[in-house]
This record gives sequence, structure tokens and C-alpha cells, in this order.
Amino acid sequence: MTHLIKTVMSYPPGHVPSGWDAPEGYVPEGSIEDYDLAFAEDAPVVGQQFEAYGQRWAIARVQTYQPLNQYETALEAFHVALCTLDSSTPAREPWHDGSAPIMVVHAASGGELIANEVGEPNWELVEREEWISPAEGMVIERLQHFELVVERASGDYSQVVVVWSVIAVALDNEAHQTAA
Amino acid sequence: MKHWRGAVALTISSALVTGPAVQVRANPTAVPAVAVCVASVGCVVTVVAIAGVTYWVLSNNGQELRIPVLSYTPTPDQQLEDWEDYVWADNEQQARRKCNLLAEQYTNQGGSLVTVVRVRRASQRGSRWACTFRG
Repeated sequence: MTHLIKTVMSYPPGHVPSGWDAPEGYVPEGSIEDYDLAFAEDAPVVGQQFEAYGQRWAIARVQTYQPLNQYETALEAFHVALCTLDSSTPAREPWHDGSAPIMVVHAASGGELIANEVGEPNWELVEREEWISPAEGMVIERLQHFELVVERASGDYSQVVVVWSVIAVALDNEAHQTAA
Repeated sequence: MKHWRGAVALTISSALVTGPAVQVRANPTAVPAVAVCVASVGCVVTVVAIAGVTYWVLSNNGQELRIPVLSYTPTPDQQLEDWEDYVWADNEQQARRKCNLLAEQYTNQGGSLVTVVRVRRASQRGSRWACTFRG
């Protein structure tokens, strides 16, 4: 079974990491967060440590979202692994209006994450499920929904939706083959 | 279930739909895959509503694909459109808050409601975020 993990690396308040893309003189209002998204064989565990961006991170908290519907990719769960440099639990900002958005992840039906225009995994925050649209050049095949199994904490999502898609041109080819 | 062959507005009458029939106002040719299907022999486009979400259903050669209909119902004199703008933010919560502040500014300037549709990070590793607005 496969897990999908969003790793949130929370820097100390006010700290701007090296190599960070921001206007000159940018002063953070709160804690800068770095994000990574990846499939993994195992669920993340609090206390696990890893290297990223020249820093040693520790998983301080894990929030797990369970699937509401099964799909042939056998994606067992979606996790948010909150990480800090000193193992302390980060105080994440709450959603400003009290209502959490939907975390949407775009994945190919073959089992890979779809990259966005800057080469990073394509994820976004969407306000309503009917506003989910396919990634560029893709056609949505299925939506897989995940919800928290524990009480929602600050910064958690209302739900997570994995958008499984296929390349639009594949459908185009099929249509032409049928026509021929 | 209605089969699509060229009309512009569809009334969903599928058994999957509960309650009154739903009017979908969306141009199928604006969605490339749907347009391809409409133009193809053997490919059938239908519309269904499942759990409150309306989908184009493309059926071809025994395979079925569902695409959410990005439907909204503009009033006859108000055509809604989407556009993107950018904010600088430390994290996703802050980015969404700043996108909503921009939406409020657009609303106040234009006199009609502007809402945030989605928020995504627009830099590989940095504080630039893209907000998609609808109004």
C-alpha cells in the first residue's frame, strides 16, 4: 500500500532560509514553510529525521487523512508531516476565516505526481470541490477523497482530494482510432 | 442522462440526480477533451451529477472519463471570468489570507463580488503564490 505525504518544513519565526525566492528585504510576518509532496511505502512517524535544503529536520507532528473511497491505486492514506529544526511542534497559522480549504493534489493515473510549470508537484488549495479543474493537458479520470480521522488542528484542510488524471491526447488518439 | 450533440445548455435528467433538474451552463467546446469527443465518431458525451458535483462523462470504446463541469450560472448581463494575480507570503495560510484580501479589494473597486477560486505556490522554493479569482 502507498502513502502520499505532504512534508511541511517550518522555519523559526522571522527566519528567511538561504536560496529562498522573495523580494529583496523581504521580512516574514510569521514562519516560512517549505513544502514537499511524495509517495512513500511507509507512513511518516513522529521523531523521524531527514536532511533537506541543507538542514536536519525532525517530524514533530503527523496528521493523517483516510480515504473515503477506494481506488485501484491503493493509496492508503494522505499525511501531513509537520517538521521543525528543533523537534518542537510548530504553531501553524489558522485559516483566516475559520473555514479550511480543500487540499488538491494532481496525480497521473499511472501513479506519478504531476509537475506544475516550475517542476514541483502540482498541488493547490481550492475553495469548493466543483471548482477543481484538471492539470494542463490532462483529463480527470477519478477523484479520491480523504478526510481527517482526528480532530482538526490549526492549518488542517477540510478534506484532501487526489485528482487522478490521464493525458488528454490519449483520449484524442483513442477517439481517432475508433473513428478509423 | 442527456447525450451531448451540439446544444449549449443541458438539462440533467439522470437518475443519479436528486431533486429538481439542474441547468448546466458551460460550453463543452471550451474543454479540449470534451470538444474532441463531441467531434469524434463513437465517443459520447453525457452529463451526470454525483454527490453535488456535475461531470462531463466521455464514453468511448467501453472506457469512461469524468471531468468536473466548471459550471456557474452567470446572470444574463454578467459574464464571470477567471484571472490570476500574485501575492508574497510565508506559508499557505498566509497566502490564502492575502488572496482573499486582494479579492476584497477587487470587489470594492469593481462593485461586484470577486471570489478566490484557488491558491497555489508559483515559485519553486519561495514566497510567490498565485491566486485565481472569479468575478
